[in-house]
Amino acid sequence: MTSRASSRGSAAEVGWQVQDPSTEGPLYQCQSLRRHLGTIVHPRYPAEAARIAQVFDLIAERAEQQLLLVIRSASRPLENAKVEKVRQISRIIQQLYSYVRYLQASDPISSPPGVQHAISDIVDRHVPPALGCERDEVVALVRPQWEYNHKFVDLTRLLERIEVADLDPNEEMFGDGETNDMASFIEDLWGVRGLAGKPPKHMAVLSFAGLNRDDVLFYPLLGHEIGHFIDFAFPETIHDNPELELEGLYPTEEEVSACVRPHLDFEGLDLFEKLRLREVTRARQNVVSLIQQCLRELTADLLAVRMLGVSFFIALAEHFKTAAALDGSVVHESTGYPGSLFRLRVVLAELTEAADGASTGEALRATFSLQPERAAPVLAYLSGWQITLDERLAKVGSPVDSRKALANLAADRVQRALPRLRSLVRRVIPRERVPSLSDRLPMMVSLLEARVPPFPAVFDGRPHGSFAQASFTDILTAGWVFELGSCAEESAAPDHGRYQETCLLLFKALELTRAQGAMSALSRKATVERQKPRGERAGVKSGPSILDAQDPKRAMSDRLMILPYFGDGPLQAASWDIHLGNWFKVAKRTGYVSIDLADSAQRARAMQEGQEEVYVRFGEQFVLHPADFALGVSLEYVSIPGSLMAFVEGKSSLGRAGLIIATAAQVAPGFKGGIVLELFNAGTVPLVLRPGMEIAQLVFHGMDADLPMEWLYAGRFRCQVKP
Amino acid sequence: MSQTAARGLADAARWIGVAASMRDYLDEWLTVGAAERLAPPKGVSAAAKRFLAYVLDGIALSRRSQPRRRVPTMAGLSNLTIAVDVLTALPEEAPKNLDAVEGSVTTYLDFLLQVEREPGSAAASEDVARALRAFFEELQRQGSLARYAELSRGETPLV
Repeated sequence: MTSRASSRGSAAEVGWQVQDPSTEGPLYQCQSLRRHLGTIVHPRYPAEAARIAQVFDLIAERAEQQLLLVIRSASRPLENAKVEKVRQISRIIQQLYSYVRYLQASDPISSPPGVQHAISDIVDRHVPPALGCERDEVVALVRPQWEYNHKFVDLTRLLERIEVADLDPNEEMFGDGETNDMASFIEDLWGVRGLAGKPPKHMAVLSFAGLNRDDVLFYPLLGHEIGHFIDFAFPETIHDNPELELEGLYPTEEEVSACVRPHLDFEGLDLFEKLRLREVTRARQNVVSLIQQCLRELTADLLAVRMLGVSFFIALAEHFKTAAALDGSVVHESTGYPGSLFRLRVVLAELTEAADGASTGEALRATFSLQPERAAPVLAYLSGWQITLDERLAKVGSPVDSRKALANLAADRVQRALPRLRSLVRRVIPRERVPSLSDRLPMMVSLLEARVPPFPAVFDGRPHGSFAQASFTDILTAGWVFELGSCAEESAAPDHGRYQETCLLLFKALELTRAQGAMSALSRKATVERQKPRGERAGVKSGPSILDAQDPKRAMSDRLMILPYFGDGPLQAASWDIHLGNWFKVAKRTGYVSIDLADSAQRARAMQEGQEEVYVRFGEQFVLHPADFALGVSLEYVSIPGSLMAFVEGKSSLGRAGLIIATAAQVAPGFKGGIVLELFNAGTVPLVLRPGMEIAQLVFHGMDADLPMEWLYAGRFRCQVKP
Repeated sequence: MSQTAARGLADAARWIGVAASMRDYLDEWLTVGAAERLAPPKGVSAAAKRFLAYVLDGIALSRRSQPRRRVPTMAGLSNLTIAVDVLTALPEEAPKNLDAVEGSVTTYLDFLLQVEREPGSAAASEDVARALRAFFEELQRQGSLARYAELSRGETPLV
């Protein structure tokens, strides 16, 4: 008789296929991972993503080699250590796989290049001086967050969690297993492959949900993530700095034991004595974990407010107001996060205390000395928060959660360490690197009021060859100063469209800031000063009268504003040349049989579903095939006063090649925004278009008289910056 | 909220590969004669010593004793927790306090240094080798449990 067990064979007879992990599966995953990484090294992705992908590929290649060693050399079944080696390497590959999607999400459609540039600028400004390293040693990549939140992914530290011995068991590559120095291991791999320069030492991904929704006013929250980046880039980190331990930061075994003993009812029993040690050790790890989590968040907040100033505080406060009920605890008992009110108080104190000469209140008053009404709403907002925080935190009584002994202990230690933490942060970002409020801020707020991007080059006369700098901090501060002022004025009837427009204007300003290099090249090309007489004429505006319409002496409401401003170069006898921008929209294949143009809802849905955005960087090309249609947008943002209107006309040289640039050519009086171009190739060969090229011209006409406000353009394309 | 992890934070899963290699090595070391004994693989041995050194650092931190090595605080504490869990789970009498943990770990560390220098040395005790083998076997088991727990949680919140 054959029993069921014996018909299947004993465990030993079942064979190694059942017991051993597959080596082919992980090998396939590894090769697939490397193919994905290869696609990131492409101009579509930012250079930061390509640098990170290179590092990942080095590790993946090493993992592949180790797997091949197991496959080629081992007999079956695999011995215990080989089985675990395959599992560990699989884990490394799977871990790297999970990070690839971060890199993929850094494409320009998901993560605006203007923001990536701005964040890289802030990182360049603060991180290398703080760490004493080179600029190319730090890489911070921006990507949208999946949830409406912000996040910091420290790739360098995550890679450190890979045990080097799993990739180099015999120390063939790197002979310092004492430190498990992943950075040195990567450097060795980099050298072996013969790559130029050095690998980045500090890599992180910073994310925020609003990135792909253009929720620009909240972009300062990314400053908190940059704060984490700086904190973790220090060998000892700031939040775990030995100087903080001078305050007796971490409780001893006895202190923790005293805390948890009342909750352990098996005291004195021999059987449980060993459990007591385990429980106390765990409790101690937990309380240190709460302290560190809280200090990490506070460190990032303090660094962020030193880097971004008042815009960070306002964005943080507004974010908290919408995210959750405001919480007055110092340390959350389960997560270790500082309560939102406590965080705001710490940040506000850093902003308003003049301890190191960086008081924002005084700076705001000085910057807006000629327009005190602009500063007043911001000052009122800050003092309002001060009062609220004092009241709410006072109501909490003791600012700790008295229910949990460990959270109490953690809160006490955090409070003790806070003054020293502030001092450490101030050393990392000293007064001279704290950005001061720009003297252009009042002008930038005025531009926003005129619904023009706060990019100050428009006012700088004739800046041939150079453009005024507008930093991320300036732009976002201007945005919040304007918004708070508008809210104060419109409390009775809030204007919901205004917020959205402000975000678009800030977005355009960030993009223009990023494009300064490319624009300077364009500007140099157009340095011919035209000494021609100026004067007003009726009908089609001549070159001189176009210049007059742009005269900065005119009131903003009566001024033609075209930015960026390339001097008189774009001026023609009766027109103004405009340049091609970076954003396009192209048609997707859809199931639509037709679009009923009379049905506005269907038309809007078809536009939404039937088109996709494309971003083309300066120096790259966009190919328009014969009979192909795409939407483009001018690089210039145009604000047309009520006394003018314009027509968009093609350039004859481009028209002769078959390019039609606009089919809806009228630009109404009062229009503000980028000029959208309906690009069509009517020729027989593909046409190559490049951002920055002269693409069309605006022909201006004077109105019989200035139009009253209600006749000015206020349609849905107002303030558009993308097609 | 940004989600960050403490620098140096480890769970037992980190050490699975090292523990498995050390267990195989000690099996071999205990089986063959003194003359045939080999030194452990360099990278694996260095990692094992690093783990034990982290544990000692965690103990020093618990006593707030100075000087201690400058490693991330959580590297010391989390690896101490791992070691206490492993020692507690072994069938032998479990350590009742940190002094006992320190004693065991120091003995293991000395043994590793000894077999690295002179694999066949008579000074390297077979009893210690057996205890250390059991330690790494349990570490590997607990690491596998931690790894499985991580898998069953699905996507880790850190990524």
